[in-house]
Amino acid sequence: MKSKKLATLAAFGLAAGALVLSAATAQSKTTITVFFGSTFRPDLMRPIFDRFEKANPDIQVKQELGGATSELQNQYLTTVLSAKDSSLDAFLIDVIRPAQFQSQGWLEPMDKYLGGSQKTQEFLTGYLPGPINADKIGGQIWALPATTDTQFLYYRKDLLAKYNLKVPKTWEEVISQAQTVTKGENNSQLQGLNFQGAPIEGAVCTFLQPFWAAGGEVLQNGKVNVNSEAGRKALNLWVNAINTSKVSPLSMAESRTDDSRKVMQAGNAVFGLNWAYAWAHFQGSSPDPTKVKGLIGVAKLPTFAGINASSANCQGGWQWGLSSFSKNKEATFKLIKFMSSSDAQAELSVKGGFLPVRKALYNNNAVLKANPHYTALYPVILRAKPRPVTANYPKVSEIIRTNVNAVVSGAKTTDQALKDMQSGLEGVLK
Amino acid sequence: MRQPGLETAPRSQTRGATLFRRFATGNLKDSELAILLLAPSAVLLAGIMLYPMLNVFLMSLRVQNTLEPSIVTTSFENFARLFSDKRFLDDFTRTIWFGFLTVTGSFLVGLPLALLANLETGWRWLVRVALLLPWAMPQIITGTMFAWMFNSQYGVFNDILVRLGFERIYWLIRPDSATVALVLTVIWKTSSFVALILLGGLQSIPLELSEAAQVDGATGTQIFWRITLPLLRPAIAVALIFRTLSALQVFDIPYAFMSAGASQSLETLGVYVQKQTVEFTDFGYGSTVSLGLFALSLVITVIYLRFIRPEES
Repeated sequence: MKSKKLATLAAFGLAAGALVLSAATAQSKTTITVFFGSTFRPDLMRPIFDRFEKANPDIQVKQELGGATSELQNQYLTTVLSAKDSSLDAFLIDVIRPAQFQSQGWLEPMDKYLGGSQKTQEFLTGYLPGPINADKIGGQIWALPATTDTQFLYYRKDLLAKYNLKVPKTWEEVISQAQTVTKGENNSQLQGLNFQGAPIEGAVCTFLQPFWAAGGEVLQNGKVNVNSEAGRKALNLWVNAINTSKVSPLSMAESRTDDSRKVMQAGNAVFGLNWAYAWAHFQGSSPDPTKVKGLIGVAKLPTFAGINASSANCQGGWQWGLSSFSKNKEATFKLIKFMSSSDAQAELSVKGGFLPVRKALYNNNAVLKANPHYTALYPVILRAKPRPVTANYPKVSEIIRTNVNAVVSGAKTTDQALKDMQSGLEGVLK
Repeated sequence: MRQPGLETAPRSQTRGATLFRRFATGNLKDSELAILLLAPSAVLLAGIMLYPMLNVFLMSLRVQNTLEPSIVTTSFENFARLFSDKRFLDDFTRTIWFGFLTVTGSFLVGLPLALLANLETGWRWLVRVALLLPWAMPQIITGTMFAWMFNSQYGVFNDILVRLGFERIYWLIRPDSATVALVLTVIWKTSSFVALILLGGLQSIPLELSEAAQVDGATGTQIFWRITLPLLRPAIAVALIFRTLSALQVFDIPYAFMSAGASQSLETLGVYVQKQTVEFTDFGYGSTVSLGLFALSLVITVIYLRFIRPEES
C-alpha cells in the first residue's frame, strides 16, 4: 500500500518535473515572425526556414503572408510599424522603401550585428552594387538584399521564328513585329504587347524604362524634368500601342504584374514586359499550368530608333528589413543573414527564378542551368537604374503611377498627364 | 416604496457627512447617485470616442515638411493646406455626389424590397434571407468581388454583354463607367440595409388601418401614399441618416475598385484619408482631411435632425 502511494507520488513528481522542463524549453525557444508578400513563393521559403530551424534549434520561424502587391504589403507594414508593434521581427520590403522606412525609424541598422563598419564592408563585397546602394543610407546598412530584380522583354520564340522575325532591338520593331504576328495568327485572345498599366508600383517602371531609353532623367541638374520630349515619347509608346497600332488591348489599364504573367503563361501574348520571377512560372515552376514551357525568350528592354540612349531597366528586388521594434533582434538578424547566404540565394533562384544578389551565383552551374538567360542578361542586371531615391517615395510613386494609368486608360491626354506629373513631382522631389 | 430602515434614518445626520460617508451608508443624493452610475459608461465612452477624436485633432497640428518628411513642426498650417488642396476639394464634391446617388438609389431599391418582404406569401422567408445576404457581407469583399465582375477581360458582366452581341464596356477603366459601376455596387450592397429598417417600420404599422381604408373603398395606391408612407416616415428618416453618414465615409468599395484599375476617378474622402496616412505616412495631414470629413458628416446630421424634429413633435 505504502509503495503504491510512493509510486503515485513519484509519478506526480516526474510529471510535474517534465511540465516545468517543457515550459522552460518552450520559453527558451525564440519565435521570430517574418512577413512577406504572397508572390514571394511561401512554398519555396518554408523549406529554407526549416533548414534554418534545424541549424538553430532554439529559434522558431513563423511566416506571415501579405498581399500580392508592393503597395498592399506596404500599407500593412505601415499600419503595424507606425503603431510600434513588435509582432513582426523581419519583413521583406521593396527596393524603393528602405529610405522611407529608415526616415520613419522603423529599421534597425545592421552594421553592429555584422561586427562594425570594417567587417560590414567586407561582408558586402560579394553583393551586387545596385541593391546595396538602395540599402545604404548615411554610411550604414539598413536592410540586406534578399533578391534583386529587373524587367525584361519576354517574347515567344516560336511565334517570332514562324514569321521569320529577329529578336527586336527597338520599340518600333516590337510594335511592328507584334502587328505582323497578331495579324498572321488571327486569334482574338492573342495580345501583341502586354504591359502593366494598372495604378500599381510597377507602373512607375512602365513609365521610367522607355523614358530613360528616350534619354530622359527625372531629375536633371536638380530640377524635375518629366514634361519633356522623352516623357512624351515614353507615354505615347503605350498610348499608340493601344490606339494606333492596336497591339495592346485597352485592358492594359487594369493589368497588374501578376495578371501580365498569367496572360503570357496562358500563351496569350507575343511580347510581354515583366520582372525576372515570371521566367520560372513560364517554365512550369508555378501554381498555374503553363502553355509556354520552352517557348519563351528573354531579351533586354528595347531602345527607340534614332535616339542615342542605351536600353535602361528598373532596379527592382526585395530587401530584408529588421524591425526596430523587434524583441529578438539577434535571432532575427541570424535568420536574415542565413536568407542572404549563397545556399539560400541559389535555391530561390533555381526554384523560383529570383535573381540572386551575390555576384558569384551568376557563375553557379545549378543557377545557370535553371536560368540560362542569366549569362546574356548579367550586364543588364548590373546596369539596372534605381527609381528616385527619397523618403518621399510613396508620393512620387503615386504621382507617376496614377498618371500612367490615366494615359493608358484614355482618361488623360499625354500632354495633360506630363503636365500633372511635372507639377506633382516638383512639389515632392528636390 | 422606501425600505423601512431608510425611512427612519435621521437625514440631518447625513447632510453634513463627507461624500465617502454618505456613499458608505447608502445616503447619496440623487444627483450624486446619478453621476456614480453614469461614470463607468462615461469613462468608457470618453476612452473610446472622445480620446481618439481629441487625438485626431492634436495630430492634425503635426505638420510634415513636404520635401523632407522627417522634419515635423506644430502649427495650423495643415488647415490652410486643406482649403488650397485641389485634390481634397475634388474628393469632397465627389463624395457628396456619390453620397447623393447611392443614398437615393438604395432608397428607391430598398423600399420596394421592404414591401416585397412584407407580403404575406410562402416565399417571404426567401426574400428575407436574400435581403440579409448583401447586408451581412463585408464591404471590402463586396468591393473585390464586384471589381472582378466588372473586369473588362474576364468579368462576368462583359461576358454576358459579349454573348448577347454587345460591345465590351471598359467598366473600371473609363471614369464615367467606373462611377456607374461604383454606384451600382454600393446600391446593391446597401439597399438591403434600407429595406431591413423599412421592413421594421412596415411591421409596426397596424394592419387595421389599411383594412379600414379598404372597407372605405381606398385603392392599393391610395393606401400606400396616404397610410403606409406617412406612417413609415420615422423609419425612413432613420434609414436615410444612417445611410447618408455611411455613404460619406465610404472607403472599401472605391478602394477596391481603384486598385483594380479605376485609378483616381473614384477617390472619396475616406480613400484620401487612407492615402495620406497609411500610404504617404503623413498622419498630420491625414488627420486634417479626416476632420474635414467629420465636419461634413456633422453638418449633414444637423440638417437631418432639423428635418425630423417637427415630424416627431
